[in-house]
Amino acid sequence: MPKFITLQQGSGGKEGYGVDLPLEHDLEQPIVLDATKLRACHPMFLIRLRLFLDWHIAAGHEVTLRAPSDPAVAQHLADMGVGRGLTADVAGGLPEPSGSPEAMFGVRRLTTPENVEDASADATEVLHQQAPALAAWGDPVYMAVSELCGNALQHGRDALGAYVAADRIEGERRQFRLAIADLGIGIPEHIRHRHPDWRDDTAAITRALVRGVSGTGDDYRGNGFAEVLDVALDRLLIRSRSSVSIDIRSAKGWVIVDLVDGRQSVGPGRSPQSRRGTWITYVVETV
Amino acid sequence: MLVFDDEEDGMAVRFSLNEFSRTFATRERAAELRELLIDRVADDRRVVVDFTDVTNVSYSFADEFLGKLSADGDIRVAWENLAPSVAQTVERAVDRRAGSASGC
Repeated sequence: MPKFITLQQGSGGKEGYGVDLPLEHDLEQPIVLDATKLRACHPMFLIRLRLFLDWHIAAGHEVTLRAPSDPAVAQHLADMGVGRGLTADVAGGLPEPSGSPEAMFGVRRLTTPENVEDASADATEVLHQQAPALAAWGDPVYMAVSELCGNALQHGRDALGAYVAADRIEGERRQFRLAIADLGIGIPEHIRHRHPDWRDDTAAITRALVRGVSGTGDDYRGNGFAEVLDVALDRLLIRSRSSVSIDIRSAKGWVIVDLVDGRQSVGPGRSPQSRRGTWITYVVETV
Repeated sequence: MLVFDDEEDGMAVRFSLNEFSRTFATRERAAELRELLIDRVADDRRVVVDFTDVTNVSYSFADEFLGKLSADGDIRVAWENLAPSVAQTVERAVDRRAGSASGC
């Protein structure tokens, strides 16, 4: 019996986590991801979708994506790199990418430091080229992509590497949405290399945001997250009068950082669900 | 711009980052460039890193490249032509690792 997973309108959810995409070996096969009714897609949802396909393909599982019936949504998935490099058996229903500028920064798999270098440069370049009005966001976006992707690759240490994607929304308020994920050991476990007493995952993630807190043996490491926040506070919140929301989920931990109305707040997410690896969204919005 | 305090930087080896890229993101890239710089400096033991055309560096790159070079103290290192945002990142990284010994 095939295992059907239905991706309906809104199943990506506001934050991209709205449907369960299990990374488990005992799923019945073939696995069919039915996206025929799919509509809006958060970049985190697209990362999860592509990661799900890559993980099951790497495990030797038979998996197929049924393309969205709405041509515009199917085109968006293709433009955002969901089908890039996959065989027709897996994602044959998706059209060829159109090169649309709306697909700002499609899903990329990062397996080498060179990939991180390229992704960081490209994210900023694309922002300058496609959204000149948002060019002031380039420096903080560069810091976020480079530090968060660097961490994902270096500390994640998973065979699939790390994934990154970004898009932008033009409306009454302009939005830039960045998503980064890996299936590695996760932030809490990494931090516990140096701080084994920090058993609560949400508390461990919260402490990882503090300058100088690291899971490595180098006393001068552990500044990347803090630098991302400081630069966002200075360039986005104060100088550009934009708001920033950073959502970090890892293991059983979930932390939300909001930079809005001139101040930074850090708090736990609701009902954290156990999650392998680290999943971060970084959203900038004009206010 | 940071210069050597004895005004002899005209004799220093110049290391132009734009020979490699305009953006620098990772510790791995920083470690490669640090080793390359050390090779090029050879016995001169002083170097000026030129940031002309460099638009972005990550904090991790700045720490791994200039932070460690400055803190090690084997080579006298200065830097110039930094864009304001790059200068801010570099100075924070160097100050944090090397304290008052930064740069010279």
